Amino acid sequence: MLPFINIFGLKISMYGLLIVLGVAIGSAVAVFFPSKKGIPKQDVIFSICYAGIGAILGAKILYLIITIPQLLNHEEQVVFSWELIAQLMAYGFVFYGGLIGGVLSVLIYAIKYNLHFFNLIEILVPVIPLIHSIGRLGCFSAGCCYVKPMDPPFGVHFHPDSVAPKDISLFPVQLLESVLNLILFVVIFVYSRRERRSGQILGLYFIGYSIIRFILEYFRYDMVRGIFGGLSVSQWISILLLPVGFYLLKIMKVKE
Amino acid sequence: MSENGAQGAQAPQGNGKAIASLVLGIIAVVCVFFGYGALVGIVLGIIGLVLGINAKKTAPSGMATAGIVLSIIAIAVCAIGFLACVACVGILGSIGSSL
Repeated sequence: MLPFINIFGLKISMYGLLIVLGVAIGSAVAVFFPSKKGIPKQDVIFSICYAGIGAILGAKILYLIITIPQLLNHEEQVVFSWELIAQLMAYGFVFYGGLIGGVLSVLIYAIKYNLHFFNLIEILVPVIPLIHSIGRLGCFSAGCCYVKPMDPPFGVHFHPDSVAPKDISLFPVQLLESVLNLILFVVIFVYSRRERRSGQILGLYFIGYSIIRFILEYFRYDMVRGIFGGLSVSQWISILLLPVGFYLLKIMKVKE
Repeated sequence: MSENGAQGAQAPQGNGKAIASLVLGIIAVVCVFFGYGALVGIVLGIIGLVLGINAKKTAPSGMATAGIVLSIIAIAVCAIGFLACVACVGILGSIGSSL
């Protein structure tokens, strides 16, 4: 729950540290316990690099798409400067943007180097919830992505240096999402150990995560939600992703 | 003969990308020591990584591997440093962080 830790006198953000740690652990699992055979380890590592780049860009682009109109609406309160631009670049990432960007990047890699897209992406899919689970612990440390106030013992007071509201206890949804992602990781990892048709592992992940995210979004309390038609951007994406997930599962069953 | 010629043409191109990847990786790692320069470090690291992977796939060499490794380290370190740097200032705290 500490937003920062000191290592050799350096103040390091737990948010960034846990995200990087999550990516490192997830990558190791994907490389050493691949769910599909026949893809060289080098290609798995390189596709993880591509996925990482795509995830950073996608998560940032979606955040900017949501945030910039809101900043422009409060133009009188915002001082536009290079510092603000730098902060907009560093502060705030939307998971779904990262997911879409990551999948598209792996698609680019597969096309560029003539590999089977589903074989490649389905090596990476099982570890996405694992990375996400560790990353949400970073959100908990930073105090972002919080939900509605709740009295203790279910509500907690965040660290004064965190970005969460002070002097009020909030339900730590980051921990709940972290646990749910960990469960999803175990389910998909076990599911992927057996031979599956192309698309089924990705489909299962889309179904599982879109349901989790759609429900948890109702409890979110942080201000930048990007609400359209009563639902947040992430809920709209969940609604679109759910049928895609079923489609991927169903098509593979028909082929079987 | 023509195959050898094609490989010969690919090797210098791959070598050039490997050198570029290595140089960008080194610059990106250094960027972490310059506050907001870490943002530049992330961008350079990403370019270095893509070039390094391309070089490794077309004409594998130790230089390409070094470029890839340095670029990955640079992105990771700059990401940690930059997020900390901005969080210390925390101007956007009231606007929101991640979604």
